[in-house]
Amino acid sequence: MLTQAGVKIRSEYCSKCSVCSSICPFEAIFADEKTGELVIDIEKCRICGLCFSSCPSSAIDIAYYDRDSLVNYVKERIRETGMDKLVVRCQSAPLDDSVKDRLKRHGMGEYITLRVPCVGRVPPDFALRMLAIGVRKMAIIPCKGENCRFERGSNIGLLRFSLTRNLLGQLGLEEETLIVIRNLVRAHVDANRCIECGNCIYTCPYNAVHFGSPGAAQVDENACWGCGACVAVCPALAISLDEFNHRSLQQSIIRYAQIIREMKQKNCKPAVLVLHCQWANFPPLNGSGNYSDGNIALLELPCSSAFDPMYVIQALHEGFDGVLIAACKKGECRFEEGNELAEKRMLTLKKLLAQLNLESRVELCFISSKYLGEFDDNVKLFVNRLKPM
Amino acid sequence: MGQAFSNLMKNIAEGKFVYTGELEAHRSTDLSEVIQWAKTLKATGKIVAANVTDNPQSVGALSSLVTSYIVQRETGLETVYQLRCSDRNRLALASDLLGAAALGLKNVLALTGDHPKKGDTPEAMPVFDLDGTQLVELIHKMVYEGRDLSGNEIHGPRPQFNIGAAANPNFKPLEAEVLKLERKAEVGADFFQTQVVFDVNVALEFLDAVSHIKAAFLIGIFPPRSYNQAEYFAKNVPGVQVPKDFLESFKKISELPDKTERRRKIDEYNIEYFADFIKQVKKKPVCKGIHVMAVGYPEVVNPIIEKVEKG
Amino acid sequence: MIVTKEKPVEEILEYLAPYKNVLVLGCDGCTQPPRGLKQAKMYAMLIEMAAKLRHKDIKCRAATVAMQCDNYLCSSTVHPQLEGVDAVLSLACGIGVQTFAEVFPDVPVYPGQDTVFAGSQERENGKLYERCKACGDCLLGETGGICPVTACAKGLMNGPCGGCVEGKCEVPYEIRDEKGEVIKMIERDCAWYRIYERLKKLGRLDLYRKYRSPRDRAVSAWPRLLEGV
Repeated sequence: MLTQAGVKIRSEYCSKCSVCSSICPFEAIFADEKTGELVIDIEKCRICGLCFSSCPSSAIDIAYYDRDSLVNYVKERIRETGMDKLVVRCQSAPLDDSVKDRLKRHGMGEYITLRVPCVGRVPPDFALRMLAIGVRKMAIIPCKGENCRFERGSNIGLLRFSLTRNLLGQLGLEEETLIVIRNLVRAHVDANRCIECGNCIYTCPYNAVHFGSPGAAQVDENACWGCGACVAVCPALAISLDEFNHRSLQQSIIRYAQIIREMKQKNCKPAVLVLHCQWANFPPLNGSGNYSDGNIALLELPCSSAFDPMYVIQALHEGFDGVLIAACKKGECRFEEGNELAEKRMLTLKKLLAQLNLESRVELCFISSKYLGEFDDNVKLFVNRLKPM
Repeated sequence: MGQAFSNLMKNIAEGKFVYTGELEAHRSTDLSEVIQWAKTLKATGKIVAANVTDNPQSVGALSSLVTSYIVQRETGLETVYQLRCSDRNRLALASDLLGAAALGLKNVLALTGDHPKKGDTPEAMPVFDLDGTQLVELIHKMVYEGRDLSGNEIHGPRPQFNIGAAANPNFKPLEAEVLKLERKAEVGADFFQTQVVFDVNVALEFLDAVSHIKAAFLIGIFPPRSYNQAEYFAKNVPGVQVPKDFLESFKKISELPDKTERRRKIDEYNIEYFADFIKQVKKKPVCKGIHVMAVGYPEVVNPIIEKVEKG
Repeated sequence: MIVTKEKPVEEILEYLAPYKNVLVLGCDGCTQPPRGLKQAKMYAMLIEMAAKLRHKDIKCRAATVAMQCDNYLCSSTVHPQLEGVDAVLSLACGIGVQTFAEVFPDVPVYPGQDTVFAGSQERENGKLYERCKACGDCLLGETGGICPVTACAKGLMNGPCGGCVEGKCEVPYEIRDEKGEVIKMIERDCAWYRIYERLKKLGRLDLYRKYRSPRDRAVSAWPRLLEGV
């Protein structure tokens, strides 16, 4: 199995300025005592990309969304759509209705969306390069600073864009050319559906859910981190997360199942749904990876703790041959050990499916996006084990 | 303490230090072995009565009522009819008690009984309509008021029973046990037979703690036939403390090569140890006797008692 | 709350074998773990799948009721869902199933759960404990808030019995698998030992010392009826 690191310092370009080391939120970069060279401790690294975006010598390579691929992606979209407005968003900062309204007020009705794990990984010159390739207006949607999945990424990203905006002002461009709207994915309770069982209140790692007095569960918007653990434990389907609601996930499963059923008829390869934590795997900008062994559909979860056995049963019911849940490695959860919740839930689900002899059709793997190919390897391993139903 | 109906209770009332034995029926219709053992106990001339167990450890066996009666009839040895609440509701208990009275039984030991899950019929419904203490009350009502618990009258002569109950000197904290025994005495227990005790200090402490209870206490002893048996008590019977010296002596003897010699030494040790044990507990006025549970080991019963009596 | 556990899928399929269109009906009431809409949807899909694997065709729909044991709620909210339904699989406790059967005498209803006991939940360990036998004659006021009827394996009124050793009961908890086989035993505290300790702490050993006369079992004789509620 490949365990090549997804981030590397090229020593021949490194000026040993140590900016990366001081900016790394996880203290994963240090100077080697003997050689003085900067080294990444991949065990500590969470592949946020802050080092990559802050290196003045462009000496750090990152496997996902490097400079050129970001630019090329936008270029391509401009060519395809003819649009000249761009929204760059953190993957935890949803484009919900309130954000869309504000964008509209800024004259942004239609736009190209660039979704990155963290705006902090976008290099400082990115905005200028965007203007250079024809973007006329940009909006940045970072997470709220205190909820940044990479501790400092959101704030650093924002700081960079403010500096760029100053620069743009000096160049005589409108301030409106670059706008910032902070947002964060959060849980919402449908009070009409809540049966007041208290599962969400007990499960929430942030003490963000309480009973209204009297009545249904309520989410404290300021305390919620948007991990979705509550969504998975709600027996009444009363909780949803921006972008991760039951309806859209279920519809996606049905839609994917249709496509995959057709593909399966052609190539007779097993169909697999992968529910992956959005931090355990960063899918390439241009869509899914290359899984020639099977018909793979990827669905993103805000955290593996949001994995709901219902989706798995639905996927099997709709004709998938197997479902793989990809969680972050132990100790690397962006939240409070949500992967352990997922692990417990998987045990219960396997017991249930064992009654139908389907327990081997679901699996949970622990992976990290910082190891190149780890996700793909796990998917392949799982696919190769499966035989079509 | 109520009236003395049985020989056992009459002996106690007369101030005699009494010894009781134990008989165990099995899942069989044949009682010859039990009768044989009862004859042996009777022949000692020292055992005033013998308990007849009722489905001990919830292992099913021939009815203790029937066994008690047949033993008494065949051997003349008075029996202590053990009756458990595990398997019968108050209606069945009362009717068995009437039967026992009709058959001339004079001692009943009222027991809560082990849970059926402990025995060989774990699927059985655990009844426990009454507990041991409440069974004491039922018997007491029948004997002294001529009524059952619901107040229904018994026609004709009332049953004549002396009521026994169980006590556990090994229980910790002792306070909880003592309060429980106060309850049992309050509702009419005449005598208590205790769980096995090996450590004389445990027995003495217990007897001091129950000295205020107006009932006769018979301390339970079990002279082991072998080191293995002694070890079994030490290891597998929870709550029973077997003194270190006792175990070590048994171990030493068990290492002797000659079998006859080994048996002789074990007998000697048991006689020595338990005679001394009894001499000590006998000094406590509340202790009215000893309950000897030496099932299958009659050789030592007489010598122990004789040694005690010699002083 | 009423604690239930899922019946084996095999058993459910046997019940449903004669039917084509089944409504899986959850309950949002007190059942623990909750057996609401999600569980109903999951079971609807699970049964369809299991049937298909056995080359049978069962179509399932899912719905839920606020409280299946409330005849009014059951009748008013379920009625519109019954169109074209041959049978109902109820995920409620036994009480819900019976209420449904009473309210809809013409619709066959089957239990999807085994109703286990009335108990309390320990979330940290994911455990559910039996706590109340509904004897109808509560004596918790005398026993330091610990129920001897439920927590004592023998339901003794004057415990502890001889089966209490070092504060532990001679009858452990038995954990059983789907087939009902005991797979694990867990040591359990003696209820009366706990009562003694708690009453001692509360300075109420007088309550422990007190003799409790035999219970009037007629009070708990079933079936019972309460009027004028």
